[in-house]
Amino acid sequence: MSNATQFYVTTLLIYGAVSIIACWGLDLQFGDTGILNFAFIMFQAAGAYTAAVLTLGPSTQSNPLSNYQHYVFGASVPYPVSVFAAALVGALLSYPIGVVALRRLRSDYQAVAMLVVSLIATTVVISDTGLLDGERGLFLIPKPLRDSADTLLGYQWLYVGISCVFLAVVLWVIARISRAPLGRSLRAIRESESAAAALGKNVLSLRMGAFVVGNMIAAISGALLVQYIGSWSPNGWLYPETFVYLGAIIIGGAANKLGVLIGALLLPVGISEGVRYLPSFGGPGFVDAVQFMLIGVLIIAFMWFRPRGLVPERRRTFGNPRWSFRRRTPGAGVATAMPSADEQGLAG
Amino acid sequence: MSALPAEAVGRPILSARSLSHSFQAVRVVDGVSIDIDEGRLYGLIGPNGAGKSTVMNILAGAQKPIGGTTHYGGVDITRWPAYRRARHGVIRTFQLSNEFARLTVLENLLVAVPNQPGDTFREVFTTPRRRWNRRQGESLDRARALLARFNMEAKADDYAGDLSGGQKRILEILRAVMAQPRLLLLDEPLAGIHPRIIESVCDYLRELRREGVTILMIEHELEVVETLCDAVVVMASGIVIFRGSMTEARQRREVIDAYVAG
Repeated sequence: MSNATQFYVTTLLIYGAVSIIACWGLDLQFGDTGILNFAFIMFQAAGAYTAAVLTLGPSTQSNPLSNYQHYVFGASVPYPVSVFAAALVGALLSYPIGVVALRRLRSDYQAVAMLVVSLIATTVVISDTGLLDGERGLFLIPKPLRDSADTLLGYQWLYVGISCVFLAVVLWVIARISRAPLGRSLRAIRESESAAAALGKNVLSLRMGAFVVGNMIAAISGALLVQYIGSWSPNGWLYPETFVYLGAIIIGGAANKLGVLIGALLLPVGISEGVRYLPSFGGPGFVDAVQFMLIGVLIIAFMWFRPRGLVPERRRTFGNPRWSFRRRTPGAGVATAMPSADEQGLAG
Repeated sequence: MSALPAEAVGRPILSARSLSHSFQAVRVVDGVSIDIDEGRLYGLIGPNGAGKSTVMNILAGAQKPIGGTTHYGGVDITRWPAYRRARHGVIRTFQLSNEFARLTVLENLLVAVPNQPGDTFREVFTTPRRRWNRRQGESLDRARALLARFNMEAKADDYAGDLSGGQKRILEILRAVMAQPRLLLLDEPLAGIHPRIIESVCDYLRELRREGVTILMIEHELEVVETLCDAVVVMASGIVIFRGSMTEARQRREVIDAYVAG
């Protein structure tokens, strides 16, 4: 593989890992728990900004990195403290929003409230230039562990490794939740909040938990991305970006980790890369717009023809192989005191 | 569940006083008081629109009354949310089937198990999987035995949403039983169940009562209520018009009038 190809492949792998992590986080909320978090991208941005201001150093004239940009705080914490801090900020930010949106509102209104929160966040960051350098965004964000690799290509592969470590940790977390009795309770809430509450599930607290953990994962994905690309501005986290991730989940298969992984590679990575190879046509920005059109069409097509996605949610059985059931012969139920299950079906 | 000691039977377990509720300007429940004694099986009957389901929703904590109080085991639970009541043994079923459609039948039953290790975000990361699985194994045995009793073991791994209407009703009762109720509130549990199964469901409810579960059920089939229930509460137009035995209720003028008028 030539150096250029290696560089391209490693970049794709890193983007892929970031988008898989983000989609798994969103899937914990949407696929498992049924929360429509239209502010998801804001939590990714919160993680990215946190990691940025914690590594850029103090915002002073003497700091060559921050000479032309203004931001709050500013520190040079070692890696991976910046990522942990990002996750923490993602969690802290979830509480005030979750308490308002998840407590009192019906799910469709929750979605609208989240969308509004996302818009407000973008507006605030753009308007208050002293906060996170407004519209221009932050740049020259230092790459972590840059000295550990001699060449740029070597560093690319190192960052692929770092991304894979985070990917593995996030997979472990969400798989553990999903396989635990907790995962079952979350899916029960997704199916019917009232029935779950009637069985003693504290719906608000469980939904809040999924919201917080999902947003922490979003923040981690943001930190991972920003420390690789080195810059971050409001244009990168406008609200439609949430729909790209949501689309990836719908196309891949909500509540299925493998499906979501495939969706995350197809949509946020695959389409944006695929569009890159299109010949330039139409006015400026038209090819970029094609990306969103494609995503929209794909989401509608999947909702219509394959609503469970490419790899549908797995049916959870309990070591109860189907072949071990004795086949019922017609009339077998008559011999027992009770009609067979199929006869009971007549009643329905 | 173990049978109640003889002296416990008949002790008041739930006492609701002057419950009221209205939808916009319509008073659907108007000063309803109900006393329920431990270990008995009660029928809550009345014509359509009498406010029975609303009373049940209030007792289960799913709706907040605009007036009145509810005491359970001597504790004022008026302001308790549904999940807290459920954790203390007040378990209800719904008038319309409310199964977890995209969970299997077995999963529906397992969700109900109280105090299952690994069921909170903290426990997922602090308790070993062995502990969840051990407890889950015990619950699975119980769940399979319950399904077998109603000839539904072949449906164990089917999605609950794919069951027939009657099977969904049975699943809902079994799910409530898995939650280890002390007071079971059943909203029309027999509606839509095949007539041949009704008797076995009734037998099962009697058995639960013997084991010490107190039951309050809304039911339209008065013959069933007569053979099954120790006592009935009759409601009409948002008020309680009679408390006592079904035989007695049949002779009361106001009860007959309510049914004729309703």
